Amino acid sequence: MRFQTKLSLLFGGLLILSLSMVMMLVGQITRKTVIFEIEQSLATTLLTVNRLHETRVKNLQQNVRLLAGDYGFKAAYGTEDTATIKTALQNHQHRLKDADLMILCDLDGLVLSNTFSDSMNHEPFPWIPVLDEAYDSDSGEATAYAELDGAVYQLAVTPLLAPDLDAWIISGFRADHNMAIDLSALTSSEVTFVRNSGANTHLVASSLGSEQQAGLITFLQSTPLSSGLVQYRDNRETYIGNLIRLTNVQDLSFSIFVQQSLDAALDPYRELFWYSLLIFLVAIVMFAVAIVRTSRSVTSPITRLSAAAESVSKGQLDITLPVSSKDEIGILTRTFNEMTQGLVEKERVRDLLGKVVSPEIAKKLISEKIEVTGEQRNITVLFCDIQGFTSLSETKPPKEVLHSLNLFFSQISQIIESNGGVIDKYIGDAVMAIFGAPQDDPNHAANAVRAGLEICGQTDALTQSLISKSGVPCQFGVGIHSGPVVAGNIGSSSRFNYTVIGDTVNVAARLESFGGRVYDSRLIVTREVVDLCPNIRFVLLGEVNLKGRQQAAEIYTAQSIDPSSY
Amino acid sequence: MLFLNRTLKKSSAYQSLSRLILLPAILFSVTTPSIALDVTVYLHDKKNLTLDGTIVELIGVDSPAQPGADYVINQVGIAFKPLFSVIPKGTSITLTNNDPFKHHVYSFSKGNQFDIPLYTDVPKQDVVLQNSGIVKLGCNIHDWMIAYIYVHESQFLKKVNSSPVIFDEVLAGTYEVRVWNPRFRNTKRILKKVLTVVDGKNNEVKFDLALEKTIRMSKKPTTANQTGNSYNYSNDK
Repeated sequence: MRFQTKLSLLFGGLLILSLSMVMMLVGQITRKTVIFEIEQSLATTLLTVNRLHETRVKNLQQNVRLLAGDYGFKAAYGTEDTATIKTALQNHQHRLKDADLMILCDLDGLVLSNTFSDSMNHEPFPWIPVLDEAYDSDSGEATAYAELDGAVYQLAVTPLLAPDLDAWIISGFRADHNMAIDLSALTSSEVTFVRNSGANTHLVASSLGSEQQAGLITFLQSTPLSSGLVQYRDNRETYIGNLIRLTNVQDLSFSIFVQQSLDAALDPYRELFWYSLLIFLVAIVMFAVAIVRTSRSVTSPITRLSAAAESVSKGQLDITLPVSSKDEIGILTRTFNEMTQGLVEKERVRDLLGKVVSPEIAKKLISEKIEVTGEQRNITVLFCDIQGFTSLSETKPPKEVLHSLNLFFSQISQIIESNGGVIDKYIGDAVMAIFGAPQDDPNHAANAVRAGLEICGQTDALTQSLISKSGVPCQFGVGIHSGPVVAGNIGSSSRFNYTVIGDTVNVAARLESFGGRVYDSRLIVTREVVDLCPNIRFVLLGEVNLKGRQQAAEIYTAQSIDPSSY
Repeated sequence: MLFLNRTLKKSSAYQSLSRLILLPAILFSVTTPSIALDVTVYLHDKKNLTLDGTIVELIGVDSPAQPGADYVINQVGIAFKPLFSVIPKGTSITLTNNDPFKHHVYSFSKGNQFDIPLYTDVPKQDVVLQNSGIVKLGCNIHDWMIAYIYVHESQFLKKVNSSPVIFDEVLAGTYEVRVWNPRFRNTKRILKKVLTVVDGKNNEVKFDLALEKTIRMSKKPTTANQTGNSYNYSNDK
């Protein structure tokens, strides 16, 4: 998998993961917040409903209290005539407007008269405990919910004082659909009056629609509730509800259930969710584009760097990459360019050094610490000089002369180097080569002789380009001598040459002048060379006096080489 | 508690039965030699509350109470004085208004109902309490004004604070024993029992009372500037 792909997948995955987590978190928090708000609202609703009830009951009691003090009503009561009392009660109920029934009881709990049903007259009042509660209370009043003919009434008990407690006036209003609607409008919650619990549950009145009522009653019948918050779902929506038991008499289980739709409350947040999801998707697309572009901007230079580094490893150093940024990638590219430039320069130096000095010397100079010091070595020095080159240079244009000379030197140098020799220097039309330095070579003398024989063996080819004024090819001589020299870097610390100095060099240079001139043989070697080359057959040419030496020196020429010596 | 009272209140049948029993007893007593005997009435409150202010009456044929002189009940400081009165049947009462404003005094008590519209000083007509029982006086324009009158019909009557209550020199015969206390929940109710007094046995009767700690009545408004009866029973017994 490409680095760019990995990078894109990594950051894309992290983005999707983080955004998904954020959305889930926001969703959870939103839902919890909405539920909490609904629960708070329902708690407030119950308080409000209770407060409204209390206010309504208080108003009713206050009104009944005023009516109870009405002398005409007391007079009617004093008649002890059921019909008279009934009409007085009806008159008061009409005045109250808020009451759906009125009952007058004596202190023994017998119904003296009422506006609900004549069958109740002279019968025990159905809800005696509420009368006892009224008597025991400081105000002499009490309220309770009670069921009458299947309907639930909020009852308010008020004493009839004539002038002390003489009877009870019970007024009541019905918990019906209109009351539920009114409470719902005031509290912004659905209000339902619930009778009984469990399987016997039925709704007395509700502000809900018929379908919602069916869902609620199904839930209440299947889930026995005492009180508190619940959550249920009907065919359409999820609701959060709160149930509160109301004061009741005669084991009447009567509750108010208030509820709000969770789905309706979440609607605005759902819209927010879809907008968030849209933003989420747009963000992912934008991020994908951005990450691809970014990863490309990162990986492209790296890819180019990788390819360039591979080319460098294969030897292609002349590579310069474009620097397109100032960041780490730009710094890396710039550094890479500087590195390749350095390598190119170093290679150029190496190449140039190889041309100025022999490859072995160049290698030694590069690989070892340069010290301007010397060492004594036993080596073999080979000198090769073109005889008559001076006259040649006078007859030909300098450029042509130089070209011919370079061609000659190139061929000579190739032969010498192929035999393990090192070109020490070019001295005019002569070549000085050394064998056994700077690298040790136990066969330095034999190698030098072989090089000399090879040079001599290629006389025609070597001299073809060197045509003298007379039209005769130039001749050359080769002198070889072995002996001790001082080898090393000679010069200053800022400029030096690796070379050898000593008598051995002088002897070799002088021998060269004998070759082809004094003797027919072009290759002249000393006795020291012969002694070092037991496998080469030499022929003694004679003795010569060499400048700087008191004794004559034997000189030889090589004739053949034992093939086994190769 | 109310339920218990209700069972006792089946009054119409009960009273008819009492009269049927009393009539031959009275006839019997006329023909029987007079012997003075003791009658003991035991009172006990279910909550062991004090019996203060309890009225015990023994009604027989030989001891009718005679109407007394005119009895005055004043209205002072928007309150009736006294709060409790015990008056023989047939006595005339004068409801004198001593306040500088009018009162409208009424009674819806069965057998003794009357209504005196707003007046000052002394009403034009006196009120004669013709029937025994409890009469509750009120004022139509001052809810907290109240007075209780126990109208008795027998000479054997005692207002007691403890039990037992002993009546001596009671002739043999059949009597109706009545007990009332203003701290009954239903202040209209008088507890009644029939007792046949004979020589040679303990003539005693027991009553279980259901007293309240206080009398429940309207409180005088604190904004009313007048001083008057606080209607604290303990201060007015």
